[in-house]
Amino acid sequence: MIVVPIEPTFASFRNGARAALARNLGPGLVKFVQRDSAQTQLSFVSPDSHVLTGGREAQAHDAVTTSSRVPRVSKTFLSLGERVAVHRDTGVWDALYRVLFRLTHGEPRLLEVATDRDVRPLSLFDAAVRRDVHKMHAFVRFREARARDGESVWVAFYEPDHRVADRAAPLFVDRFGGTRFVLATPDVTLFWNTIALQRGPGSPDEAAARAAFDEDTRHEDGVADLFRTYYESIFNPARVNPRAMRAEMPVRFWKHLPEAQSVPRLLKEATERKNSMIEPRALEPRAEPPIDGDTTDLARAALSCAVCTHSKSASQTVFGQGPTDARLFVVGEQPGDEEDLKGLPFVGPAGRFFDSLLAEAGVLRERLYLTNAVKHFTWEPRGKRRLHVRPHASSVRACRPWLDAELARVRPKVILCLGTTAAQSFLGPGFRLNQALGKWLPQSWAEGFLVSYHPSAILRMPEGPLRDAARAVFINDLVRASALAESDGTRS
Amino acid sequence: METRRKLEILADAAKYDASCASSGAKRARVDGGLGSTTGMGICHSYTPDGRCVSLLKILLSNVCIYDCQYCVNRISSDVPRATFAPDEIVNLVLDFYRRNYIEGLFLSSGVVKSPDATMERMIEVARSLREDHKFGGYVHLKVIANASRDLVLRAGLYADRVSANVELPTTPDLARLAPEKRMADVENTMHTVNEKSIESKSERRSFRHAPRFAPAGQSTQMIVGATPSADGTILATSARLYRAHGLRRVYYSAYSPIPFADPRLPPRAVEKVREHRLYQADWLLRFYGYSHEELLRPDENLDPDLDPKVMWALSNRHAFPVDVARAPKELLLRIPGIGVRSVARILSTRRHSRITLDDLARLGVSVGRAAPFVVTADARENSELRTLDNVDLRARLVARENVSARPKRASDAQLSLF
Repeated sequence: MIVVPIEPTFASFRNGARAALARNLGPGLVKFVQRDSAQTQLSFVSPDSHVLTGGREAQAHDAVTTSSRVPRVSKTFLSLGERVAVHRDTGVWDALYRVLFRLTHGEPRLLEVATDRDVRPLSLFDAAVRRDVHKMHAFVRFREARARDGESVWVAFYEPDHRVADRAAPLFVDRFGGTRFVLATPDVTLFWNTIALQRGPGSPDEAAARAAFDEDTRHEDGVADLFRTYYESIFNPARVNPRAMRAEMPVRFWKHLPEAQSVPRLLKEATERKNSMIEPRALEPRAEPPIDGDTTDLARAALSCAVCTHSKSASQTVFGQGPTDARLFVVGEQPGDEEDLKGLPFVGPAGRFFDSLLAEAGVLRERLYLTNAVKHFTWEPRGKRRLHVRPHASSVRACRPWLDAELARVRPKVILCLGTTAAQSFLGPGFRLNQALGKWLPQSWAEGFLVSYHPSAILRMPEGPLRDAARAVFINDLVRASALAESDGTRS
Repeated sequence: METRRKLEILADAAKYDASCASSGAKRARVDGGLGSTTGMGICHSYTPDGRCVSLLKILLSNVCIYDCQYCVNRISSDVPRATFAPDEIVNLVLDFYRRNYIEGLFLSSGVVKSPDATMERMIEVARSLREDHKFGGYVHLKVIANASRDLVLRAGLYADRVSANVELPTTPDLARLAPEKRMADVENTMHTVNEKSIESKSERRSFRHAPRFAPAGQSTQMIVGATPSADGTILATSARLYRAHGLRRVYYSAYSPIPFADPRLPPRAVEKVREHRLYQADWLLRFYGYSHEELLRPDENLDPDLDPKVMWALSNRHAFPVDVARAPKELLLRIPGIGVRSVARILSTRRHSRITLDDLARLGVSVGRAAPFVVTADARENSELRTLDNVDLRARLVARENVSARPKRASDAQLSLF
């Protein structure tokens, strides 16, 4: 066994390898030993092993006696060698030599055989180094400081897995080259003075690297805090996946990253935050209408529905009413006091007013399917009276499946919503009446979808031109809705 | 309001946009300037949900006059509102960029007064970064729906990438949930961007200093599962957008319930696996030579239990097994478990050497998935090959998938507990 002591650089390996190749030593006969660890390594080598001195002596030797036999290898190998030489595994050198020997002994295209047992380790070394450079580009963090000359300098300390500082530095020069920066690692410290990159001895740790500089710590911590705020705000607690995070951002790098200190707390809080975000919606009760049967069966099933919070205070469920083949489907808000007692929709004061408007528009009530967005009366005691209260959005959502079930049975041609609550049941809490009044709205429940006033809203308006106008609008809407519903053509 | 509080609100509001890429364009630092773009994209951090932090992704404002029902910032939503001044954003970007926290900025916004007024302010941020600070980092500007053509063109002069979100996969879906948005308008914007970007590239071939226009191209985003549109329809829309407007990426975002949501929206989150399968299928469209019609009919969904490539292979068993020593590249790309890079390695290796099943593993192939579909030099040792025509092959592959994807399943299970 012949030992070739080398520095951990590709240039040094080349000299050693050239000497070994010149003596035509097969890979099994040579061992490359890094000089920084040569002392300990040598004691493991058998006493009869020789130490081959590479370097100048070997070069001279080559030049004099074997220069004609110095083999040539492809650029691909040389650049691969440069890349893997910064890998910290001391086995890199022997792996390189094994491939080099075969490249120069009849297998010049060996590197194209990715499956080869000697090529593959080099590919793995190469991938590990590439990844390490990429991680260094990602995880180096600069802080602004002042150098002894009083001028600004940006300082970073970083511990890469491999000796990649020189490989990673060009990106930082490209980016931050307009200012001075110091990139300290345990292997080497790189100093960019805006013109050239200087190399100095490495720093053992963060404190040592920053000791030479003056820093406005409060300001720098403030910016780091601001970034941490950002980091915490973009995290989605519903999608916790710490495994994926650690795979990409290994824990050993966390000490460089100000935001990483938030991770344990974020993970701990994730469950609570997620609950408060999704729970109210996921667990919100919804009515469950039967799948089979006609509207009569629905009405019967709805009698026992107690999903919404105020169903207990109402006398009974007031379900929709009308022919199953109705072409116009009218949706109000909710039953009122009289409707609640009689169990029928649109029979109170507003219902009677609605009847008069229907008559004026020439629309027959018998041809309509009449229902409400919410099927229980919501009220507050006011003296002896039960005062109508606008139903809560959660009640509208809870009751919505009934409305869907009615629609599925009746399958009307046109839907006319009376008032905001009815429209919101379909279009969501964002619906605003004044934007939509009198417009055929795009949707997918029926051919035509119109929203008008609720009759009681018109009733409550003071007598005068406004009320007359609203009334005229309402009648016009009734006429239009009915005309489309009864026509055999489609809306133009 | 203090910058920190605005950052909290406007970063939180921006997290529903799935795009995080900072890749696709190269930009060298200008003299006296700050920053460069490598074309590779760098993730400077990862959040505990496993997502990459590459850009400062924020909204300029979450005030919005629109009422898109799937959106947490719609006018009718009860969320805290905030608006950045353009120079606040500029300072945040510069402060973060100098410390190597980010690759650049991804700026979107609610529609503040009008689409144009909003777009103007977003462009002002990008202009100030590029002109006042000679910023060479990555800038992605969202094009606000219905912003005028002139502003779209100005945005592209400062941004590396612009994107107009289609949000929902079909015109009827949009009519239902986003009454102010129309597919035709979005595609008009995409058309403008694409046209201008092609024009700028050809100009730069003749004049080196001709202005660049959105050199990293354009992308878009679709919300999946907020409407009943099936995966087949979604992929057809993606394929059309890729073809017609030269998009670089379509992002899919599985719908997750937002606070105070509309009753027309599903009450539960769409399974993450659906989004994952769509991305896999999208990859097949872009890099593997599949057409969307081959994968799915418009009313079909991807198989949640299997990679779409495996799904295709199972329903096209007549095309297999494929011999790695002889098959053309297009066929190699169709073998389950073999990726684009592995195919390149196979093509290079097979000129010099026979390839066994073990070799495939060394080339980065997922042999478990590939084995039933592939002929190698040691085909006789490959007992899986005999299972190609078995009825239970699908079940076996699903079982294998579940074993290898255990971590993903575990986190899914964790979600469904709640």
